[in-house]
Amino acid sequence: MHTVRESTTVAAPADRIFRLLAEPERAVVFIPGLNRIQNVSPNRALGCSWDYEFNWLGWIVSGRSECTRYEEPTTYQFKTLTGNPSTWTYRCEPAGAGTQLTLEVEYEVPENQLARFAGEAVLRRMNENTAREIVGNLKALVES
Amino acid sequence: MTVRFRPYDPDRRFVWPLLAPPSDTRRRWLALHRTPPDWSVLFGRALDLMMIDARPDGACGVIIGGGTSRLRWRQGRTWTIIDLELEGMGGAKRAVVRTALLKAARYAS
Repeated sequence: MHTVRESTTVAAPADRIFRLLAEPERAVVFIPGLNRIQNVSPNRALGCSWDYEFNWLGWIVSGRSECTRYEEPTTYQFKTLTGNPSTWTYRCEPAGAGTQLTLEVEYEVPENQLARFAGEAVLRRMNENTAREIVGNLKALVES
Repeated sequence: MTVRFRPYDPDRRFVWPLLAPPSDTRRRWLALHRTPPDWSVLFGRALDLMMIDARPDGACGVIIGGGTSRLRWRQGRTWTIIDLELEGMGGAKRAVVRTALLKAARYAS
């Protein structure tokens, strides 16, 4: 397993950030390349699952995810259920008058078509950039 | 997870930025479609996902965030021109909102 971690201080309460994180449909507004979330199961907390679809210049990455930790308003985690395993964990911890937002993504380097075009170092850099953009987008949405 | 190459997405609308924007707060997009979507519902849902207040502005518009920002559109049978004006928010938020609205115009059903 490889891990990327990105963190920032957000001038907003944890519950406001958690509201953005904890509804799967909202992810399309702050995750770059994620274009569709569909077939979200009716249970909206632990065990909730959904289909996702990323698109990078015609390359489609799709699958199903499931919420595996739901501790409002501090921890939200989901795992990809199909194909290459990955675990995404958001943490919202008090930091002065605001919140320390951390995103940690654990993933395995896929041995498939994508890996043929993007080696381990490239994938790592892509994942680091994506994580940085996600926490930046969340900060922008709730702060200003 | 599956990975595949799909250069053409039949469910995607073609939406492009039109001309050079007159300022950082304004954008104009051209959308091509077989059947025009209900833009009011589509953009209202996207703004709700961002936890931004929105309300209809007549039949062809949405007022965003208490009136400082707005979306307006005019449409034909196979095209729509969409004007977005975002005021009263910081540059970083403006960029996120703009990107999310453009994504919704292209992909939301």
